[in-house]
Amino acid sequence: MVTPTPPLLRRPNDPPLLLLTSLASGPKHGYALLKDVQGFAGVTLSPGTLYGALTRLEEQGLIEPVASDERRRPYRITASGVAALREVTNEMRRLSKVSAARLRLVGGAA
Amino acid sequence: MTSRLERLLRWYPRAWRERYGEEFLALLDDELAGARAPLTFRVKVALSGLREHGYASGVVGASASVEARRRGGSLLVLVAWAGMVVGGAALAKSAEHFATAMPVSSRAGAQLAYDVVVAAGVVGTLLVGLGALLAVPTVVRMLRRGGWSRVRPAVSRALAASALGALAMTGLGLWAHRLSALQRNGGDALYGVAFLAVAALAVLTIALWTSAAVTTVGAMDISPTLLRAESALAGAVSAAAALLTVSALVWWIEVARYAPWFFQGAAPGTAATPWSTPMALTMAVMLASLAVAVGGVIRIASGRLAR
Repeated sequence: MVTPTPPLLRRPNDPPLLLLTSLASGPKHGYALLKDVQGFAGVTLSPGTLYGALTRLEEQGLIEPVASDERRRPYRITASGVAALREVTNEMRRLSKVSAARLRLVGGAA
Repeated sequence: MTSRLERLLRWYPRAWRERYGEEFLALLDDELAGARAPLTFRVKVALSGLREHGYASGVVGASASVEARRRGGSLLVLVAWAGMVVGGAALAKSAEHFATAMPVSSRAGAQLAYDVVVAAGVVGTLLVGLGALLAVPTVVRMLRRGGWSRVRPAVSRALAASALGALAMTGLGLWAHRLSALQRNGGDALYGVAFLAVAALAVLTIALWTSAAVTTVGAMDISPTLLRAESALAGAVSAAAALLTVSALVWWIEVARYAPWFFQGAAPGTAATPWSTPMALTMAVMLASLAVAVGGVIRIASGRLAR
């Protein structure tokens, strides 16, 4: 069965997609997420953007908070989040293959 | 440091603050590492808070439910109607005694357009009133569940502005009785300033009551049936707003065509420009309000399309 891509994961540089990608390697709190996203995508998210995206992801059940006594609450990806991320990744891989094939047709290096 | 940052949380909806406030402050502390928050940083946080208000009220958000979209769209139309009331009041002031300034033979078009403006204003206001009336049982339930503490600040601000506005209008009315028509219409500079101050207070009062209504709706648990009814009313109010705006524009064109001197306060027959800055501002308020109302209707319709 094909899972429909959630509306908030449509573009590769969308904060929710970047955060899901970051959380795929394990639970992280807000500041760790900012640093990780900056490291692997070169995108600097503002705190407001980060928490806006975390709010939407949690509302949709794609991430969940991890119980913590600290002020810095970590989040982890849920099974639905993994499925959504896999769906988007497959879609991007398919598009990337099409782009590479067409680049070869016009004589460019893929 | 944290208390200064805590103030930034006021830009966010209460429910959001309760859920994410503490951890968000921890993130801000980490991000700033003891440094003072620059203005751009604070502005970005404030804008994010306003965006959360938009999500919370259903005004924005691609993943919002049909009910959230109906609620958000209806609220946009309510805000738009408040703007329409301000524009309508400005038009009523600009149009005072216009009929007597126009030649009898060319008065009919402007008079008809003005009558349509008034009729659309009355119908729109009645529809908004009906929407409020339908929501009364839900408001009562919300208050019984202890919702008063949530809406009290917004309602108190609106009540205070109303009381101040009533006092100011009474004072201005008493003053106006002692002045001649010429003094009331620009001859007395001090009265003119007082009139503008009272008008600004009236606009502020309308804005505060609209804000109180939006806060109240945010605290209510609205049934799908009531939301459907409110959405239908919002559509009708938007139609009234469109009719009002178009009629106001037609009125301006008609008066400009046959009695341009009216806008300059000159004697009939005097050569004058039909341009009127107050009318241009009035039309700008009406068009902006209409745009918001159309945005509200699109938001409501998007729920139906997304289903």
